[in-house]
Amino acid sequence: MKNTLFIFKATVFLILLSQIAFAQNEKYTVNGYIRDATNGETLIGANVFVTSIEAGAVSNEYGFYSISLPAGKHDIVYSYLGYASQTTTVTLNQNTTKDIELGFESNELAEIVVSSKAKNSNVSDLEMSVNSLDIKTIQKLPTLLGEVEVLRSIQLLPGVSTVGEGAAGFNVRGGSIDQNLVLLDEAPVYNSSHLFGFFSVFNPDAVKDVKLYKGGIPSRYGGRLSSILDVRMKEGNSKRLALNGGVGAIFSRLSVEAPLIKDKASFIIAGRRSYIDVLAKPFLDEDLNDSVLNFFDLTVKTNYNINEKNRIFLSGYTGRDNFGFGDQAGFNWGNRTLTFRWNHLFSEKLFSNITLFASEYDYDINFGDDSQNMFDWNASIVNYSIKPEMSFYLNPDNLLRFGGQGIIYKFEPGNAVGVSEGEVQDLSQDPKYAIESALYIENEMKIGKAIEINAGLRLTHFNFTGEGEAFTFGESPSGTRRPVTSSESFSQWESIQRYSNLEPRLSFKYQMNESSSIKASYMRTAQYIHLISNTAASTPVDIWTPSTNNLRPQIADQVAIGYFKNFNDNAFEFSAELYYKDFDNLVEYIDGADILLNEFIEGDLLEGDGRAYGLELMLKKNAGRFSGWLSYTLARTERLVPGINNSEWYPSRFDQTHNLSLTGFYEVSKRFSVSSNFALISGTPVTFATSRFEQQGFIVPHNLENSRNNVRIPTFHRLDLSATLKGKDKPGKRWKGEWVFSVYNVYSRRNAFSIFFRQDLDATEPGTPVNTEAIRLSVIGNFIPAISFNFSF
Amino acid sequence: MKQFKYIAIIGGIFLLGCEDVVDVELGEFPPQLVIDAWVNDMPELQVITLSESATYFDPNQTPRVDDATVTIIRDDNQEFNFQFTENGQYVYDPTESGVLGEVGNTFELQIQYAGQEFCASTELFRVPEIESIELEFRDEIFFPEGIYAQFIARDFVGLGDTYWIRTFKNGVFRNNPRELNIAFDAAFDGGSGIDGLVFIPPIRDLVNPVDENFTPIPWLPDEIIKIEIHSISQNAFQFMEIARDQMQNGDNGIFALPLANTRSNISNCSSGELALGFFNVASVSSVSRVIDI
Repeated sequence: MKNTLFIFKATVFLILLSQIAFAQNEKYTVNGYIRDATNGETLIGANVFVTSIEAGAVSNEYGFYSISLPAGKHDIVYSYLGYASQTTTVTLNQNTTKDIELGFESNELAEIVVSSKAKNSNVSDLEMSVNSLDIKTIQKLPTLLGEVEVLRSIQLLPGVSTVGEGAAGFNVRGGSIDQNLVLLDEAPVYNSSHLFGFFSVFNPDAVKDVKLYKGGIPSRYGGRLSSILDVRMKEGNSKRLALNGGVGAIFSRLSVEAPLIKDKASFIIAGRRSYIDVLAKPFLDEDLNDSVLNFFDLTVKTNYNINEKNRIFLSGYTGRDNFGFGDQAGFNWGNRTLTFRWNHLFSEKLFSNITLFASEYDYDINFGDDSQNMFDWNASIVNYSIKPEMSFYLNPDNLLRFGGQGIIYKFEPGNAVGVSEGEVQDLSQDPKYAIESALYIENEMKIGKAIEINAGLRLTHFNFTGEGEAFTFGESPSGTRRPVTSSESFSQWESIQRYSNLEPRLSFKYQMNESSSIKASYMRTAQYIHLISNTAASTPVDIWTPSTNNLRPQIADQVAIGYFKNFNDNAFEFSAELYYKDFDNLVEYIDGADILLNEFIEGDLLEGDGRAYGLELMLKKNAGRFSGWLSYTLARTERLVPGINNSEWYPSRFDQTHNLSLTGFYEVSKRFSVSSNFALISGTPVTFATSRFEQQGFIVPHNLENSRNNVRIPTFHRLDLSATLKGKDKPGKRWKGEWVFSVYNVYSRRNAFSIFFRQDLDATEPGTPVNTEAIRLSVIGNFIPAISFNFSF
Repeated sequence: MKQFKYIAIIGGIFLLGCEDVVDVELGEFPPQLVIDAWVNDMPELQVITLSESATYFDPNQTPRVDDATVTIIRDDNQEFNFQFTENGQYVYDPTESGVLGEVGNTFELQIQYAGQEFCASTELFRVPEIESIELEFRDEIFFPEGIYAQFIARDFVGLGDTYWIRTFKNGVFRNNPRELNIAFDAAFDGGSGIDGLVFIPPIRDLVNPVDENFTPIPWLPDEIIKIEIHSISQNAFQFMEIARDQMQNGDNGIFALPLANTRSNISNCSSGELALGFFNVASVSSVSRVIDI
């Protein structure tokens, strides 16, 4: 209860702070939504600037803004990247609602981004360690097989790395892949990959905006240590029927969006399906003819503007990867999410959103076609959540946000039935249950012209509950399996173990002048659910598990400072950030851990510390026919785990000393544009055996130093190119088509994913030589050209 | 972590990737004593082999150790002296003082070498009888046309029995790492709760030799298949499990496991420092059959 008292005091303090600016003349509020004039989509992060007070506001995730001004006449400038700015004059003698629709720049081509963005938001925004990518930028990037990819595009940003090409997920500032909260319309997506990691589950036709928080995460977000990837779906065109689609090498896509009631309600349905199987079918043997091999996803969203004060949204996602080999074996996995949101305006100044969501990830594997001998195995994670959030626009200098979240989890770590010679054995493990709850408050405040602060607190609580059995484990030499010593049964919702954490968050900005600022941030994050994954790249069968009486929550503290500078009239944005991050209770594994279908898995887990630090540089050119960015990261990420690497610090599997990427776009003409991407990345570390020894005729590899990640694979570099040719634009023609030609890995470099050791695997006579060799595994071994066609109507 | 293999196989269909042999420099490391002490309760020559570890890429047989003293002591103080013969081999002939023991006996291994003493202890565990070897003509996706064998045996009721299933083709032990066949109760590993079943199909099937794609190779008429089940301790199971996973790790592609060292049950008696290798005394059941269908 100490925590509750503390959060109460902090709340009072924050409210008092925000009152300082109150004792002034009479004020009125201007509020409203900012939308795209062509399709009615709300615009996230659009700028509202009031010239008379030289201050402004930014539209929130729902396109809503609110600003309090003294009575009188004001010029308000509304602007957003890629759109023509709009200036409106309001005379305030009462609270006023002002909804704005922004249109595209008249010259859509060359000056795409010239004038419209709040010119120096890189410098003037309080946020640091945050990268936004709008879908238009993502669509222009050259990609593998021409498929527009949300997750691959964020890997071009500083501070983001992966274990290697084709691996699922991504690593942010030294965090493992489960330390990213990947949100699709506020619902977490537990496995963001199709086809093991080559493609992500996000259909670009349905995505509106992608924002990655790597640090300085506001207290309204929580649940993971390292990052929040906030993917927002389009609401659907509220002006007219629109179609988007494409035919590519992997997917064909189609999306339909239309108003249900013009300017009041709309929907979007977007689907994709791979068709390798359709193309491959005629070439398969009879044996494989009934093989299944496909993946698809379907994204649906609808919204209804009930009135000025109420708006509701319903969005859902389902996707699945299916593999089957006749009736001999099958394997499929997928996510499902459902989100309901209600935006309600209590007053001009108090915006609220309540989100209800459900999210599920599951997989199923089966072997055997006769009822005498078969095996069927599935596992899942399901959660239900409620998340009320309030934004109180106190005055132009204070935005107070508060809210909470409750999540109920059900983990099914494995339901398996094995039949051997007709005897059925149920191998199912008990489900695990947990309740996670959070309360937060934060105040975004401006102090004078130069200083801006967001101070927040998040109080989180985790309750690991029955029904189920909780085990106690005994001691063992460090790094080895701990034996079960006792177990205790718990009834439904009976608490087995509770954890609480207070997570302070602080962001600070000092703006030195129009074009430069210094920012700093601190955050503590706690994570109560963990992905149990022991392989180089995560597999779809990896299971999520809650913190338990044997597995404590992971905790991280991060500090970052940054320098932000724009020049050439904001045509160039530059940022430099330094961060240091400290991790506690990271999950690691004993040698030879059994992580699947193992009731006693906690005995195979180790707890470790981690640290990550680095320098991130980004130079971005927004304006002109040539645009793009250069991103460079110098970083180190290390782990310290008793029982691994002689209990000394070692680099994590995704540690990359240097990571440079150069992305460029060039508009050759109105119809023709080209883009390129070049990446140059230090080799990640792997572990090599030092020695071999013989045992019962086998040659066993051994590392005499007991070291982990002791060698680095060669440097990674790759160049990708793409060219887009648009159809002729005629006035009044709604049908638009474009061809995209791309080449991935232009100069056919065989970049190493890893180097592993292999031995002759033939049975040999004792005493005869057994050859061993080192093998470089390259996931992409060649240049990959692709053509795709996209259309819109 | 057998399961990853299947996933990697499915994933392999898509991996546009490729594998190239590359040169890798490994440093020099001093050799360490390796003790290969997998003996059993059968009335046949019992062999313990001593050798040294070598650089990973040296294809030759590792150096042998010829000047050690090797003794096993049973819990009733019966001593078995293993006499050096040749090539690092120390042999005990059960016609001298009988077989090593029976289920329930415990044993200590003592080795004196180069002024150091190494110790280990283990217990002899129960082993189930093999009911039969069944032969079947199959033509399936995972079994190309031909004759395949399976063995039928039932695990004991009670959790924690661990076994090593050894296959001999025409009298030669199959030491292909992909065929290393161990079982925890009747299934792959512990913690699943499987118990008292007939060994599950993947374990039954792994008595068939496999090629480099993990595809079983059919048996030919008149070949002789012999299958032995050895009871091994749970620590021996973990040792073999890690050895198997590491030897086969190249098959896992991007889902490779981290390099892990096997953990010996043999240590320097005074310093406690672990040696390489393992000491296990097995009970054995065995059946052989001529391929006669």
